[in-house]
Amino acid sequence: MNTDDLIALLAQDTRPVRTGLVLRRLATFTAAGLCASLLLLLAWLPLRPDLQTAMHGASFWMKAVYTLAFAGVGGLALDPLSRPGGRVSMRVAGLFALAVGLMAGAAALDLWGADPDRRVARWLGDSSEVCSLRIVALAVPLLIMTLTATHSLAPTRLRPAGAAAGLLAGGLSAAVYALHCPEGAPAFILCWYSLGMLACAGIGALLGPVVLRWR
Amino acid sequence: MLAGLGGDAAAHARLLAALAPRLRAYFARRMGADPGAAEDLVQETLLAIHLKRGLYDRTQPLMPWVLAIARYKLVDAWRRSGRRRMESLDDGAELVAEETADATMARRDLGVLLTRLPRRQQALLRDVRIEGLSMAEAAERHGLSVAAVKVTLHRSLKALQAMVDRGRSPSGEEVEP
Repeated sequence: MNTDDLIALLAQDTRPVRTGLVLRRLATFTAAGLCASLLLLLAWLPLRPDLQTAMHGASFWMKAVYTLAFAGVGGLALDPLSRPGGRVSMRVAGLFALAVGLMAGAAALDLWGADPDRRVARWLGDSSEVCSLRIVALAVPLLIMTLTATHSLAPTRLRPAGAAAGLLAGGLSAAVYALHCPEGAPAFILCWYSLGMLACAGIGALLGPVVLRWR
Repeated sequence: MLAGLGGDAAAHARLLAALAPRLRAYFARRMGADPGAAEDLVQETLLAIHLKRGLYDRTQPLMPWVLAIARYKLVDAWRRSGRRRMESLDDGAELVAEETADATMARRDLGVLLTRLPRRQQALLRDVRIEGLSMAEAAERHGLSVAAVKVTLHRSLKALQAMVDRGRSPSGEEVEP
């Protein structure tokens, strides 16, 4: 078939296109992944016993806002990166820097005020060895869904798109993990939560060029 | 582009027809030695522009979007051709005759691929495309609703793309649909 015939054929297939496809696709797949990740948490680990009271405290919400900010950065970057030639706005990088900066400030103040003997304990908590790994494990269903959604769209820069999908998955997974994890020290969150979420982004970046290729 | 997104088939055809020569120039410059392969890429890119047009952000300029798809297809083709070159070394590859470029010279002849579609889709494509029936006439002939004809047509195009993807086209074979 020659190219002119192909064009005529394609034109026969013209139907109105709905707007908002990217957002709809990413939102539905991510929501499904989030449900799967929640179920995985409930099947695997107990909720923190003081969840009811913790929800009235600041440190629970600080953790929630911090992890959801990472997810937000991933999502805001993934939207343009799922389309051909999409560029990520510098504001997204700004949001990322703001979240990390605020948490670093809180961690510094907290450590400053703490008893010198307790500083290492504030940083390591009781679960530093498992925290990041569990966030990565809980991110698996989310990562599958965000990568599947991105693959079904048309990313042209596969590594950044994979990293954004990973960061979205990691941020939400960390928010889910916070329902179990009782740690509340800013230094702990800054170090181990960030490590888990960034590891998810790294895995996404590694997988991107392999699994996001579309035709 | 915007009118095409709204469902204006004539505008959509004009857009694709206007993009084709630009894409041909783009790929010809980068695939110099192989005009047939360049035309394949023109067709693949047009198909991708068509099937992915729902992802076009209406607030952004069009050409960067088109170029991003073209560049992606080009890199993809280089990747694949690297692999194919390796395979053909094993086969004891035959020499390829000289080719000149024009719109009829696509080596991966989509017409050949068309013959692999399910019979009903083939018949529909032939009637709509070759015999030039309108959607309504084709619908009547096949006892389908116009909507069903459109859906079938769309599925056929997707299937066609999947076949291009799997690279099942035999090169050198020349079959007219």
